[in-house]
Amino acid sequence: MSAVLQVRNLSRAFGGIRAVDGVSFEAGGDGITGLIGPNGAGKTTMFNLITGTTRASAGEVVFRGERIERLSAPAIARKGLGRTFQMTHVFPGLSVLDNLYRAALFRQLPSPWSLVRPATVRQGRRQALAQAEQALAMIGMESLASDDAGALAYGQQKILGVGMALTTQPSMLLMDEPAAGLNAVETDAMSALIERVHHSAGVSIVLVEHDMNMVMRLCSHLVVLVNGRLLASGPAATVRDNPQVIDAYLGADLENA
Amino acid sequence: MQIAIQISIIALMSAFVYALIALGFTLVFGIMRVVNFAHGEFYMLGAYAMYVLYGLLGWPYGSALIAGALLVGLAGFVLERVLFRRFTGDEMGGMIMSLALAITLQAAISLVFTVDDLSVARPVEGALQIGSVFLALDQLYVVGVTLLALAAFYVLIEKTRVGITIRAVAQDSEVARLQGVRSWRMTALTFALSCLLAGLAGALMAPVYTIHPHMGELVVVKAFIIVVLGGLGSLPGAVIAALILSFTEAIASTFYNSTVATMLSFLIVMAVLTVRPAGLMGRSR
Amino acid sequence: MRNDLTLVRRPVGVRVAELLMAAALLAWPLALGESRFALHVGVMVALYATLAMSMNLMLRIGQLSLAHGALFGIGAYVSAILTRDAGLGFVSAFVLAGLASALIALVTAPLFMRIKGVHFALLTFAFGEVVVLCFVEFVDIFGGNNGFGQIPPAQLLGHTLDRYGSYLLATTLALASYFSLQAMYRRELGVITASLHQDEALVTASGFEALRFRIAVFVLSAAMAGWAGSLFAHYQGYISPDSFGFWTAVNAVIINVLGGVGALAGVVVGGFLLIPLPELLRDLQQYQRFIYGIVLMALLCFMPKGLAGLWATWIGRLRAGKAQP
Repeated sequence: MSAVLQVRNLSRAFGGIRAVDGVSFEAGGDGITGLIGPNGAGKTTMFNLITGTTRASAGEVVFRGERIERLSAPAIARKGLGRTFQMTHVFPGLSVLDNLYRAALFRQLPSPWSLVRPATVRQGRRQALAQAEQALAMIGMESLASDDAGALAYGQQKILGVGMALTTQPSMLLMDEPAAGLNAVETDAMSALIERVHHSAGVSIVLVEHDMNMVMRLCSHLVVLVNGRLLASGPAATVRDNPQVIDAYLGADLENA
Repeated sequence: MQIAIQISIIALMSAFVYALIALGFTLVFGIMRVVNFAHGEFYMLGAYAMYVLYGLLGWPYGSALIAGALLVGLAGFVLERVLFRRFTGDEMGGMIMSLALAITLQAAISLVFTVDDLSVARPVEGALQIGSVFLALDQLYVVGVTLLALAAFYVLIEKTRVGITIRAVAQDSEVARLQGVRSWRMTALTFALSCLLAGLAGALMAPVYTIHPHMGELVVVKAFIIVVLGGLGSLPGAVIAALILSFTEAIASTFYNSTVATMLSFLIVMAVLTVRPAGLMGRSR
Repeated sequence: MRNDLTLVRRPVGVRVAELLMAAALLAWPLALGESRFALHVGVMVALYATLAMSMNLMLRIGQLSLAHGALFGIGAYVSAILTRDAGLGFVSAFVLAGLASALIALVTAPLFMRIKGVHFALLTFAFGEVVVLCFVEFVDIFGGNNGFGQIPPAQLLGHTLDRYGSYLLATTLALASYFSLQAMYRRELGVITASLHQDEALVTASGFEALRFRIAVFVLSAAMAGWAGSLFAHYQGYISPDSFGFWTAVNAVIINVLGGVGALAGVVVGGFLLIPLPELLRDLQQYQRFIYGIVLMALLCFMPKGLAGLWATWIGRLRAGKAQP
């Protein structure tokens, strides 16, 4: 698998606590990667380190051959590393299409300079609209284009969230617990969307997820974190059968799944 | 050397009075997340209360002092309920309301008492002589009462049920409420206490300097500097910062001038707010 | 309409009304006679309304700046010094004055705009005080507490502006500020500020540089305040540090609170109501501050959305009334 994302010896400490401790792994290319581990394993911190929301104490993050760990979160997003949120983040009171359009607009006109020249603004709007309509089709919400995003069902809002992330034209999407808060039907729809995004649009995907059914359905590779450290990483089948992993995490979850 | 000691006494007196004022200010911020720009006006009200009770009505000094402080505390209690209650959770709104209150209180006092300087007699005359140093007795009184007040406050906050509850609410109003503590009463009590402290400070200082409607403005600026330096919400921080500010000002005023001293204080405030918003000892929240 | 999702279209009626008001504001002295008092009030309203509009920009991005009095002052002093002491013409001085304030903002913004909420207000309060203390301390440059006098009046095309001319200039600045801000609010600026206010994490995740945007807003806001300050200096002929302190910024905030931050028109109306008060209530001067404070507290309690909120409620009721037969 050609690595789009490489994490090398990444660490982050909060006071005396090492939330992430010297973790290295690779992700991207063919197949979806799942980042799993028990609560408190450091998955959220790892997520924030990669997206640039939190600064790393040590280590590197390389995205498509470029080191990004020192860049700001918006800069990283513009490089093509998109993200979705665990809770729904949409603009209520605006239509679905408007939501997509806005997200696309922020990507097209990201700095104050781009707002100054009218030609740039006009072009930005055109491109944003095109991106929004593309994303609308990808998430299959054409029939809901004029609906109030705030009035959508929770699951649909999360799907809209994926659409908004797509408008930034990512080459890789980091997804923070896409199944959180969804029922079985919604989870199914989300899984189908993720597969579609990966296979038709060619977007690399890294999932942080607790829902083992989704993980097993979607992920060809797994990265397991426990207590801030890497426990195992590699093809899903191998990791799944790893006795340490079963001990620390999967065993308990498989009983509950 | 003699001058140094004289200056130190005044600096010390100022420090303790500022500490008293700053404590109230930081208490309100810590618990209600409100920057009370009207805080200085309660100091001013305390001074005017002293003028009326002690100066005009001739009450004994001690009674006037206590009554004045209590009156101002009561005013704070009422005003919190009427004006600030609706701004829980709205830091900006509370701040703007406090500005409006400051304007109104200053104007009201100007209407009743005019803008002229007033004064009240000192409670004691004379000075204590130690070697070649003269310590004005009334200034020593102020230091003494302030220390007593600070000590009493410390006991209240650390040892009594009420005080500990106030601190609990400061930590997390939601949690405290869930556990059956009535946080509305706490905020009212806290605000009243804060105003009482400011009023006490004002009443104490009434005989020392002159009384006028704008006296609160000058003082609240100092309080604000102290609170930011010490850490918004930190009580020990306020006391330590008060000492630091007071002595820095005394020294800077002596060698440069008061304008430069004030500028320096504000620059320090800016540095603290950008680099370490929690201040010397504050919580990072 | 789908080609331009970011453009908020205002009803034609509103835009016509705005243009008529603008024309009326410029032309009334010709029709009604040049009352000295009214023109004076008019200049003050125009200048402080411009300052209030610059404050509006800051409030829209959720940052209450108490430094704007000082930024107003920087524009005033720079313009005064450049004309009286450096011999520059009014127009150049005016332009440079706004740029000076903008420059100060540009230099401080990368540090300041990372701070939000109450801490930002306190930070700008301290900064504003430092600036004013500089006006007081550096007597050779700024004149200190005695002020800076003998400021040459504004001159355009060789003519010294008379009272009506000053009024026209000030009103033109205010109108220019109003219409350009409105145009920006109706377009991307409005979308961005509203979205940042609602969900900054989402905006940032889409690749938008929120901090740089905030810096740009602060700089623009400072420039506006500086230009207003320049006109203030040349109109008064004399300036002193008192005019540029904390309370000036507070007044600008209060005008916004009265008018409603969300509606620029409300802010201007608020300015019309509040700024002439000191002049009109001169007889009742003692009561003036008191009434001001009481009214303000009442506003905050009962009309938190300001005049704009009230207007919106009335319009809403009117529409609901029409809908029912």
